[in-house]
Amino acid sequence: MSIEFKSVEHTYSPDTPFAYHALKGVDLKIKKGTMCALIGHTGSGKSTLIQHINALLLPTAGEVNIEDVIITATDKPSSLKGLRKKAGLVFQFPEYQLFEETILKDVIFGPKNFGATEEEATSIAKEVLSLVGLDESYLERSPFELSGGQKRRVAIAGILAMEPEILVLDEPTAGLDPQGAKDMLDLFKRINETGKTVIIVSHDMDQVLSYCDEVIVMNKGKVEEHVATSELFEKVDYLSSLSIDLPTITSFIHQLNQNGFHIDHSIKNLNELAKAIRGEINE
Amino acid sequence: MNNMMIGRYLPLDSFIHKLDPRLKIGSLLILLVSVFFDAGFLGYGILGLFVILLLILSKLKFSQILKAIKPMLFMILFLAVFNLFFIQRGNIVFQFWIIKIYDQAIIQTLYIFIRLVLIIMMTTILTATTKPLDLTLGLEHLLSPFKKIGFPTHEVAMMISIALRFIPTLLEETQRIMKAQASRGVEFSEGSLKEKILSIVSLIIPLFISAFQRAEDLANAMESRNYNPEAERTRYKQLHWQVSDSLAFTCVLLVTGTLITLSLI
Ligand SMILES: Nc1ncnc2c1ncn2[C@@H]1O[C@H](COP(=O)(O)OP(=O)(O)OP(=O)(O)O)[C@@H](O)[C@H]1O
Ligand SMILES: [Mg+2]
Repeated sequence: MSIEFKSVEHTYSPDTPFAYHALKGVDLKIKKGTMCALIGHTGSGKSTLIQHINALLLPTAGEVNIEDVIITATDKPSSLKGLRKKAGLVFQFPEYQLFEETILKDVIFGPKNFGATEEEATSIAKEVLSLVGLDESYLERSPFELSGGQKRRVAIAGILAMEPEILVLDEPTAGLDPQGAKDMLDLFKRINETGKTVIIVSHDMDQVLSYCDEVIVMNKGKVEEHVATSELFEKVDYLSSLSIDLPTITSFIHQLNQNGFHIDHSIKNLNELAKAIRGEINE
Repeated sequence: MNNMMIGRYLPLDSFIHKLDPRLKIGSLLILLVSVFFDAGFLGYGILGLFVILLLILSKLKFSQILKAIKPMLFMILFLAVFNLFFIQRGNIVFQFWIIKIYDQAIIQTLYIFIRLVLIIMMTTILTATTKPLDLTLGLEHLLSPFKKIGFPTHEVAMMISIALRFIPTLLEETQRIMKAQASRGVEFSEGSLKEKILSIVSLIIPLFISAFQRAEDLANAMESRNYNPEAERTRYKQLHWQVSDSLAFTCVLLVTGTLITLSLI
């Protein structure tokens, strides 16, 4: 078991007039090596939840267990640093965390903080930068002269360079162009295939359907569903009650079926869908 | 950082909250001056009671005021210790090696301590009970006589309200960047001097960049809506002086009067 939440509560600014109860008894288990989506309405507590995974926030009650490191309200694990290396967290709009003079320096900042030598860090940095689609000519450039999407790639590379076991991404593709978004997700999928746990916060159900094995649905500070992706999108009424759209393809199948077709809901790509439709028409 | 109390508005519903911002700013200025009258411990007792009365009337909790004092505690203690050792008047009450402590020093130190705590309490009451925008509106009104001699009242008020508006945003931003860098292994409270400097740099640079970006965006947004600081403008929100304001002002004047009398006799 890689991640486990036991009745986790989180209240922001407790004991003040601004107190806000953002997590209300979250129970959650995520197995090692899954690619998992976290969805839910804005303000439902997704970002709050994921910040517990590397102990940026401590639960105000309950217990979080990350690969056998236990975090509770009272005791921080003695080595927070170890935990931060294990679980790499990419924030929403991470491009605002860049600060070094060159891209290379910014990417090796993380690994060096965790004790890598300059040479080790540099070789990992070159590798991850090419993974995110920035070639060697970028190494010595200033991160501040890049476009927004390129900055995002550098920031994500900065976390990948730490080689975390668990990769958590808060809306990593918001504001990227479609091709850029697809490249990023393909990259996360490849990382997942090397055995790492990947958790993605997303509002894009098409992405969730094509890339994630499991989905966690949050609503008003609680985890309401934690199921396989195909299972979730069968619950059409439940999703519309949360005003979550169906993925384009699922919604299309749904409409076909309302008009007399009997097509399998769990179809994920156009080819299979075309075959299924042809099958029905030829019957 | 989450629990910053200094300068924070607390949305409660109290007598003090409803008073005119002009009255509250004016009273604060008068009371700040009267803190420095040497009215003896009796005077400070009276002023202290008055401030506690204000606290109760404004429905603030004592713990919230303590939170406002806490970040300043180090400075207050530093000033106090400094005074204790360097004022050399009156009789020596304590002597050890080269350290001599005089009775006047003890009294002065106590005064300084009381004064600073009172000042922080009074200012916190003002900011906790007055919305930032009301505060600047009041300030603009109070400064308006100076317009005649060319003082840019409106611009100053605008600058203050923008600054006040962005304090919480900047604090939030600071927190966000600290978290992002902490995720990359920065420990803000530990490490050698060199590591500490690097961790501060990793916070300051992104913070400045986003602050400048915000400033530019705001300036563009204002200009594209044709903002002209010199234009004559009317106000949606009007200030109305009420009987309760006159009453409150009388109380402030009474307390100040008592303090002045005490310091003269
Ligand atoms: N630092 C904070 N102090 C107080 N309340 C907060 C803080 N951060 C978040 N909240 C509140 O907690 C709730 C959950 O916020 P969170 O950021 O986890 O939502 P989210 O699901 O990530 O939303 P989004 O999809 O918009 O990113 C929100 O109602 C928010 O107002
Ligand atoms: Mg969020």
